[in-house]
Amino acid sequence: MEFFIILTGLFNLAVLVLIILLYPNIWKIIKEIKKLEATDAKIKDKAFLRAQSKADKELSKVIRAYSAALNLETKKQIEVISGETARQIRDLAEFSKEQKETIVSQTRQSLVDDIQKTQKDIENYRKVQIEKLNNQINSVIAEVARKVLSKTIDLKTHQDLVIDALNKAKAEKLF
Amino acid sequence: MKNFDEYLKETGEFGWVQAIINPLFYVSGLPTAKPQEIILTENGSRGIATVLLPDFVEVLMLDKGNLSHEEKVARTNTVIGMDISPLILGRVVDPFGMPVDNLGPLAGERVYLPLDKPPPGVLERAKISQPFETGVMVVDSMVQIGKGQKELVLGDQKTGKTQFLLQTMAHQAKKGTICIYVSIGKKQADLKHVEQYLKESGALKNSVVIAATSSDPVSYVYFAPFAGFTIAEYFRDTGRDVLIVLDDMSAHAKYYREISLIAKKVPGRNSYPGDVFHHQARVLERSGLIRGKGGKKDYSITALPVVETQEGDITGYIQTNLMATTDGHLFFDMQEAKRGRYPPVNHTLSVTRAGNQTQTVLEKEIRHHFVLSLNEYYRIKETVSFGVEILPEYKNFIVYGQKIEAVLNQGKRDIVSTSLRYLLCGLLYFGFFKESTIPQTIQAKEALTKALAEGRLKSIEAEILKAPNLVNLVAVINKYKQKIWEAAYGNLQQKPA
Amino acid sequence: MQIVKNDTFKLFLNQFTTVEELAGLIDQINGILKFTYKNTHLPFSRRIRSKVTKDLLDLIIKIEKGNKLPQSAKELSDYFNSLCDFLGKIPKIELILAFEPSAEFLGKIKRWFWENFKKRVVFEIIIKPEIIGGAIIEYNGIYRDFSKAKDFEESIAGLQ
Repeated sequence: MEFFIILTGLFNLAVLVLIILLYPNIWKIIKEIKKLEATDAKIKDKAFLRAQSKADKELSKVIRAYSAALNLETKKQIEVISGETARQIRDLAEFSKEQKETIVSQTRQSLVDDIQKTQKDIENYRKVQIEKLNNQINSVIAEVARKVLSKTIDLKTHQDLVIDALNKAKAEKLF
Repeated sequence: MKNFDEYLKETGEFGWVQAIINPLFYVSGLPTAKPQEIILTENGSRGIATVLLPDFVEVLMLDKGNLSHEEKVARTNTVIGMDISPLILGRVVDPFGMPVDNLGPLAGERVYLPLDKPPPGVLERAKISQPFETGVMVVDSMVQIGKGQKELVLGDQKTGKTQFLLQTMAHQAKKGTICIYVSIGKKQADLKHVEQYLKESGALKNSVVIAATSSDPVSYVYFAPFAGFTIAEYFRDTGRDVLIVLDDMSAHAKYYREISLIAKKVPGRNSYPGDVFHHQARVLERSGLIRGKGGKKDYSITALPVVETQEGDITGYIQTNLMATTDGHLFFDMQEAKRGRYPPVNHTLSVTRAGNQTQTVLEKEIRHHFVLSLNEYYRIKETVSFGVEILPEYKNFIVYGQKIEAVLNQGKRDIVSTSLRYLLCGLLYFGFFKESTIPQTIQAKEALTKALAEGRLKSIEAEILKAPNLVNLVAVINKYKQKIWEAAYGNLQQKPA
Repeated sequence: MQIVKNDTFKLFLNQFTTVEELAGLIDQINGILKFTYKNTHLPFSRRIRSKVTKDLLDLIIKIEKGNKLPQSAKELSDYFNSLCDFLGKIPKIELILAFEPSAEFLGKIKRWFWENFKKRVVFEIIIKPEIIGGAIIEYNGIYRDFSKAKDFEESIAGLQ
C-alpha cells in the first residue's frame, strides 16, 4: 500500500514535469487553431451573405411570377363569377317578375271566383228565403181565402155541394 | 215519414182503435190493410199489422206512445223496413235503422229495405266449400265451420258463448268480413261490454250492432233478427262475406210467446205458439252461400245463432227446434267450464254438418287424431277414477290428453291463426312436448304464439301452411325443430327430442 | 140477457140523426132500464114520464097502446137491452162539412140515404170551414175527399 501511494506520487510528478516542458508548444498550437477558426468563420460569413442575396433575388423573381399569374387567374375567376352572378340575378329578377304576375293574376282570379261564389250563395240564399216567404204568404193567403170562400158561399149552395158529394160517393159505390 | 193526414189522403182508408192490450191493439176499418204494413195513429204512434181478422186488424205496437180508444189510424202503404247505408258500419242502431249510439244520424246514401224477405231458393245456393275460421283453436280443429253455414251455439249461462262469438267477430272483421251482432233482449250493460270489446279489438269499423235490449218495446226485440238479416243481405249483395250473430234466440222465442199469448193464439208445447219453429227457421234460412252472378265469386252469410240451455239440457223445445234448423251446433258444457277449460266446447256433443267438407286433408287428419286421442283419454280417465292401478302406457295417454287440452285452451282475447294452429297440432303429434310438464307446455305455446306474431318463424310458417298432410307437417317440424325449440324454450341447454 | 128482435125497433130510428142524438137516446134508454122492475103495477110510460124527452115518451106510449111493449119486467129489460144493441150497430157516416147544417138538412140527407140505399145511418158531423164546400166522407173505413178545398189547392198549385 505504501508502495502504491509512492508510485502514484511519482507518476503525477512525471506528468507535471511533462506538461511544464510542453506548455509553450501547446500554446502555439492553440493560437494557430484560433487563427484558423477565425479565418474559417469569416469565409463562412461571406459565403452565407452571398448565398442569401442570391436566394433573395431568386425568390423575388418567383414571387413576382406567381403573383402575376395569380392576379391573372383571380381576375379571370372574378369575371366568371360576376358574369354568373349577373346572369342569376337577371334570371331571378325575371322569375320574380313572372311569379309576381302569376300570383297577382291567380289572386285576382281567386278573388273573382270567391266573389262569384259568394254572390251565388247570396243569390241562392235569397231565392230560398224568398221561396220560403212566398210559401208562407201563399199558405196564409190560401188559409184566408179558404175561410173567406166558405163564408161567401151561401147556405143553399153549400147544401147543394154536399148533395153533389154524396152523389159522387154513390157513383164510386162507397156505400 | 209523412204525417197522418197525408197518409189518409193518399190511401183513402182509416180505422178506429177498438181495443188496446199492450203490446197489441185492435183496429176496425182499414178494409185493404196488408200484413206487415205500417199503421199510423193520429198522434203519430206506429204499429205493424200482424193479423187480418174478419172484423179487426191486429196491430203490434212499435212505439211506446199513448193510444186511446176510438183513436183514428191510417194505413201507410209501406211494409215494415229499415233505412241502410254503407256508413252503417261501426254504428249501433235499433231494429229500424235509427242510430242509438249518440253519433248523429246515419250518413250516406240510404236505401229502404223490407225487414221480412223470403229466403233465397235452392237454385240460388252454392255448396258450402270454404272454411270459416273462428280463430278459436278447439272449434277450428275439431268442429270446423264453413262459410254460409248456420251453426248453433248453445250452453248454460256464463259458459263463455258471447265471448267466443266476440273472438270470432274480431278475427273475421280483420279479414274483411262484415260482422253483425244482434242483441236480442239483453241488458244494456251486456250490450255496452260487446261494443267495448269490438272497439278495443278494432273490429267495430267492420261491424254493425243491432240493439234490442230488454228495456225496448216487445216489437223491437221480435224484429231484431229480421233487421240483422236485412243488413246482412244488403252487404252480401255488394259482394262481401257476412257473419251474423243472434244473441240469443231463446229470448226471441220468449218474446214471441208473449205476443202470441196476448193475441190469444192457441198455446202449444211449453206455451209457445205452434208456429215458433216457422218464425225462427224462416229468419235463419236467409243465411247461406249464394252463387255469384255474372261469374263473380260466391258470397255468404254465416249465421251463429245462440240459445241458452238450463243445466245442460239440450232437449228443450226451442233448443231442439234450432238444432233441427241449423247445420250443426257447438255445445258449451258447464262441466268442462268447471274443469277450467276455455272455451268449454264439448266436442263429443258438438256437431258440424257442413264444416267437414270444407276441410283440407291435413285438417281432417288433425281432427281425426285429436278426436281419437281425446276420446281415449276420457275413457281411460273414467277407468282410472275407479281406483285401479294404471298401466304406464295409460299414464302416458292421460298426460298426452292433458297436454292436448292445455294446448286447446285459449285466452279470452287470444286469436289463433291457421299457421299457429297447424304448428301446435303438429308439435303435439310429433311429440315435441313429450318431455315437458303441462305448465312448460303452456309456456312453450305462449312463447311460440309470440314468436309467430313477431315474425321470427316466418320461414317455417310458409312451409307449414303448404303442408298437404300430417306426415309432411311433421317433416317440416322435424326440419326446423332446433329453431322451434329455441323459440319455445329460449335456451339450448336442453336438446330437442 | 136474451136477445130480442122486434119490429118496433125501427120506430126508434126517427129519434135521432147524429151520433150525439143517438148517444143521448141510448143514455135515456139505459136510464129507464131501472124502472122496468119498479112500480110494476103502473104502465111503463107512467113510470118514466118525467125521466125522458117528450118525443121518446110519445113513442113509448104509442108502442104501449099498440100492445107491442112487453109486460113482464124481465121481458121489458131484455127488450130495452136489445134495443140498445140494435141502435149501437147502426152504421156511422162521418161527414166533414164547411158549414153548420140545420136539422132539416140533416133530415134531407137521411132521407136521401133511405131512398138510394134503403139504409138507416147515423151521422157524425164535423165542421171545418177550411174545406170551403162539399164534403169529406168517411164510411166503413173508407175516406173520400169530395171537398172544394182539393180543387182550390190544385188551382193554387197551378197558379204557382
